[in-house]
Amino acid sequence: MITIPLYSFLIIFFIYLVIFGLFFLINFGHLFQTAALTFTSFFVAILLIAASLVVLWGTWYFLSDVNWQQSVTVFDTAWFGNILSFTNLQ
Amino acid sequence: MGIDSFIHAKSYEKIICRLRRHWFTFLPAIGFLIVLLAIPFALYWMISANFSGWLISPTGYPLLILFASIYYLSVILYFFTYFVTFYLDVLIMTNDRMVDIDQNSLFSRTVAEVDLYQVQDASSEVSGVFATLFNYGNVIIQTAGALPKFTLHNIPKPHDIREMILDLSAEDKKYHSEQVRVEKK
Repeated sequence: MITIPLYSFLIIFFIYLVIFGLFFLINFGHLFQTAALTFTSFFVAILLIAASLVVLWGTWYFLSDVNWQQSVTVFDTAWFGNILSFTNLQ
Repeated sequence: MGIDSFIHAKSYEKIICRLRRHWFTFLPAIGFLIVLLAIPFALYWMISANFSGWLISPTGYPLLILFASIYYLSVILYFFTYFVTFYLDVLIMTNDRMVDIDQNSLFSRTVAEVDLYQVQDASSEVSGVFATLFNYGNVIIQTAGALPKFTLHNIPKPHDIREMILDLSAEDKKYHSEQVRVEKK
């Protein structure tokens, strides 16, 4: 049986947030570099930043009471026990 | 960075206009975004009806929340990337040349330019119900330059733009022939 702590998924989530922020900045950089930072594009960017913040706030709100030290079973041979057991074929 | 420095405008060059795709052609993307945003709600309804144990499980619940968060952030990022790709498809018309910027994807951009005096022919087309109602369509430009054919997709008022291109081209040809005459003297 292989178990990992729940906070491992939180670490993966934070890595994803870094990648997300990087790509967001790249998009913003494109707008700036091509002199396309007009009222429309700026407004859309602000709107999407606000939406991202709402998602992050909702994530924090729903996960604030979670015990991150608990373990998650990622693999257990018992899941496949019935498939491999020949006695069950009789 | 201003538009003048981006296209390396010459001293006598004036920017006439910037043309982008018509806003109506962006609406299908907004519809798709709404469908994508609704999917987790449908999944939540299915899970609460058939696998309600996952929602109260001490490990399943946080994993579902993290998955939903990653999903929504990915949708936002995808939409922003699509918008940037849409918005950066722009034609910059000056009194000397046309610069066409096509943002193909996040890391792929094509910039093509043609001098106005090299424009040989321009045609415009509007086809479809919505294109006719909202007056947007394509302008196809034949040139004598390295790029023999330029197509401007889904731009507003294509017939007016075609006339403007031909007028500007005629003026630029006149200017160039006068320059050649002056140089010969």
